[in-house]
Amino acid sequence: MGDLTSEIDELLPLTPTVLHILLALADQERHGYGIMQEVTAMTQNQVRMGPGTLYGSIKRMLKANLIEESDERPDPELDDERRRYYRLTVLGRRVLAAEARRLSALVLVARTKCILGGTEAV
Amino acid sequence: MSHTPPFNVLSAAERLYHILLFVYPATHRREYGPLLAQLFRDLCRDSYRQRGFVGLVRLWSYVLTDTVVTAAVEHFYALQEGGQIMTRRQHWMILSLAGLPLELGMLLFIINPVFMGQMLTPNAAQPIGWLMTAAVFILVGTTYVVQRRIIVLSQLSDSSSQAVCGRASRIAWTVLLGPFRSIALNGHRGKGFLFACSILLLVLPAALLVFVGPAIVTVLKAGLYP
Repeated sequence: MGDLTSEIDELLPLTPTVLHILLALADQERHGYGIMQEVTAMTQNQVRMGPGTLYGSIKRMLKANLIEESDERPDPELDDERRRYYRLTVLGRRVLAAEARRLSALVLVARTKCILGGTEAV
Repeated sequence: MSHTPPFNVLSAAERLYHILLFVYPATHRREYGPLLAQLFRDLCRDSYRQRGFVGLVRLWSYVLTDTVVTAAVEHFYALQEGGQIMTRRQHWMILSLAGLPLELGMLLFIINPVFMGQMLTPNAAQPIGWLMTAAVFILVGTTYVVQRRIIVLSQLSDSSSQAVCGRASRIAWTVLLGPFRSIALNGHRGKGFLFACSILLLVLPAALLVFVGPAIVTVLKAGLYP
């Protein structure tokens, strides 16, 4: 347990790209293009990754054991079998949760310092 | 607005992207090349459907930047991970990349006064002079920013750098040398090589000022610049 906690701590804070990819995979497994579309939708077009950035990050996230390849196909008939699907690992989910808590604490600080003003609904 | 992408436009774009993929290291290309190509194909279709040719142009503009930056990053990771000995081709490619701001700066600073001095009248030269000066700054600045990003990214897994450089001098060395530092850390060249590169990087701009300076002064005196 202690080892896992320190492993998670070492990975934080996440880079924006890694955070967005983990968030995109939080609810279901997706292929590269699916991740890209989900990130664009989540951020209302504000974050746009290039193919090189996406697969470079995926490569390093696989190595860090944050995500893994999935053999399952959500719909094999409709999908190109050359596509690779990715899903979160246990470590990836815990790292994402830890990062979300860290960011949430930061937002709380921003609220107490009235940075967000009155426009933000609590 | 929805466009149906013509087959030849998409296949030409895909072929171009396939060629572009050769800037990545061979190992990365073998593993991720087909996935990158497929992703690009999907992006092409979407961009064309949404905005037609304008969409394709916009897609290419960010795909080009993305590919150049990430290819350089992948080359550094490849060198750092395996502790591989670089091939001669890789060595020259990195040297050329590292020297790009200087090369561009030299080229444009030389071309600028010569071109304006011989080809243009003083009045007509004014807007072109500004444009060319702006081009110099934009090109050199952009290349510098890209290079800085590469350096920062290449440092992520670089623990051995502490052994070579002390904390204080490390920043200066990084700013000055950038990619040269990685070459030395991978055992391809020693500290002597780094020292030679740093001298070169300091001496060249100075030499540039000495030689190009008078030309700029002449141009200024001639009133070619506003």
